[in-house]
Amino acid sequence: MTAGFPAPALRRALVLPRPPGWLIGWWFVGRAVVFVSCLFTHASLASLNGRDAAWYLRVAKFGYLLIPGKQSDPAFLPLYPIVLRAVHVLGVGWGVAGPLVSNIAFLAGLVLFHMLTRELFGEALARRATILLAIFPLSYVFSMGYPESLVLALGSAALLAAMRGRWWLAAACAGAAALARPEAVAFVLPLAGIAWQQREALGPWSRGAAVAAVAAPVAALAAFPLYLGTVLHDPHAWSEAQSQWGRRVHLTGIPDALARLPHSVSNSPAGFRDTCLFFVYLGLLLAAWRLGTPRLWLAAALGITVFPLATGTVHGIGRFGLLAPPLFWGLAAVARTARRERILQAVSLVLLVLGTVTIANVIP
Amino acid sequence: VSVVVALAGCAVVTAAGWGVEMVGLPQPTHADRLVASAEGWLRDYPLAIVAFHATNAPVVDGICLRTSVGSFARSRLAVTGGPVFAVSTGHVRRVRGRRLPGFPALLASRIGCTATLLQPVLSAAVTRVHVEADQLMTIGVGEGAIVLNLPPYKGQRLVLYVLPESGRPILAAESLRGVRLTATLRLERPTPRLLVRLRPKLGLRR
Repeated sequence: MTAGFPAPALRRALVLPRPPGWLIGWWFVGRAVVFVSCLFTHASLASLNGRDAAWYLRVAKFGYLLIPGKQSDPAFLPLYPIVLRAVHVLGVGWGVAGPLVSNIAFLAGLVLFHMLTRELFGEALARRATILLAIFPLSYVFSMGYPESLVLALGSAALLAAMRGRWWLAAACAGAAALARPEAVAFVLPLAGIAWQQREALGPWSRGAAVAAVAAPVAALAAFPLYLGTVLHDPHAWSEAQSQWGRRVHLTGIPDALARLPHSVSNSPAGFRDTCLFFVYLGLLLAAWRLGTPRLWLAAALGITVFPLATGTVHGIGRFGLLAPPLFWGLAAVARTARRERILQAVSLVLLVLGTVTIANVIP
Repeated sequence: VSVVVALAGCAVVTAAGWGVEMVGLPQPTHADRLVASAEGWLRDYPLAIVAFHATNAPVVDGICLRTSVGSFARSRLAVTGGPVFAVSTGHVRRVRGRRLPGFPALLASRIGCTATLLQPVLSAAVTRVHVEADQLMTIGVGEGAIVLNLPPYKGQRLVLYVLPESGRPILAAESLRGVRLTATLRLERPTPRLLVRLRPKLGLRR
């Protein structure tokens, strides 16, 4: 008897298939590299809870508080702190909650990314792309108390659900992703592309659901200013706090950021890394385009990669790009021969170690 | 039908997002809000007109003007009787006038200047650990204040009295080496005309 549990269709939608052994293996390799590098350098895993992770923890513990004119926590979206709080209620300590949630979400994210890629490009490319994502040089972020792994899982789930015609599930996942990172708004484009492809087959009800799923990231993101308006009596608290973190969008932001690239490269290791990754990402987008990635998916990835420049800085682009699946399809396309794949894996692992040991000094 | 379903779906997503945030996150305490407001007042108002009350000592009036901002903000504190002090984070130096016997200059610089008060208040606002707000205290006829017991900051244990509605700091108190000093604060934004009058008094060039 299945009384009290959702219908079989919903149950199928919510339960992930068992991940293949190789996927778990590469996830384990990537995470082991991160943990061992972290322990070797810092003698603890505390650095996984540093930087923005400390702010997410603060929101989880105390809620939001705007400090006008100073860096404060309304700059950080709420879903990840909500998940941290839920995990803490189950008895997990605050210090462990972030890395625990992130690493488990990353495993789920890899499974969903693999399924999504397989539907678009077949098993061989899906496998290569998933392995390269699991050990990507910046993938240490997926082990930190950051929401990227959660967004990877939710975003992939939303796109996969949409491709399979489960539009309400797609709406829920896309909305949830947008409540964790604003980059998830870019998923509007591939969702719209999928909805357009399926338009003939959809009935009136499903068509409405599809439109709702396409708009879900924006609709969910609108809930945050509403919440801040309710709690802090200031619906603009998010943008006010963002501006204190140097994240205010300007009309001249992109030309300014491009003009400052030489300065960014020479001024800080993070600037150097993000500038390099910006150009690498553009190259990978080109490779993804040549692979035959649908244009709207490419546009979303381009938005995730280029739009942050509108704030006038290249900082953070390396991390934001982790949420653009076409970049990893492009990387898998580059690694199309076994030799290239092995070289890319080796280089990724070395850079992953380097990235992890510098967490404390170089902003992810 | 599609349009209605789509609009309803969007409304449900927004409402669900708002609901999850309301249920899933704690709301800031009254003490947190007051500390954030007090931080805003101290940052926006560079001038404090102060009355210092030490135990078993006469009231000493003073004025403190913030002369630079940032992590290494500097101020000038002038008190009745002549001495003028140059105040920076953790340091106070007499730059003019005679020494005032029994006057706790270090303590006065910590609680009588907006720049030095700002540091522990900002730290408390950002970390939000152990900020306690006592009930309304009567401080005058028809006047009340909330007492904020701030967490220790670099060995400093500050008690700040703020107005319940606006969070405006009106009184600061601290103890150091057995001396308890209270500063009644009147925060001001100096006009250019007032600055012209104050500068010589504070030993600053015009």
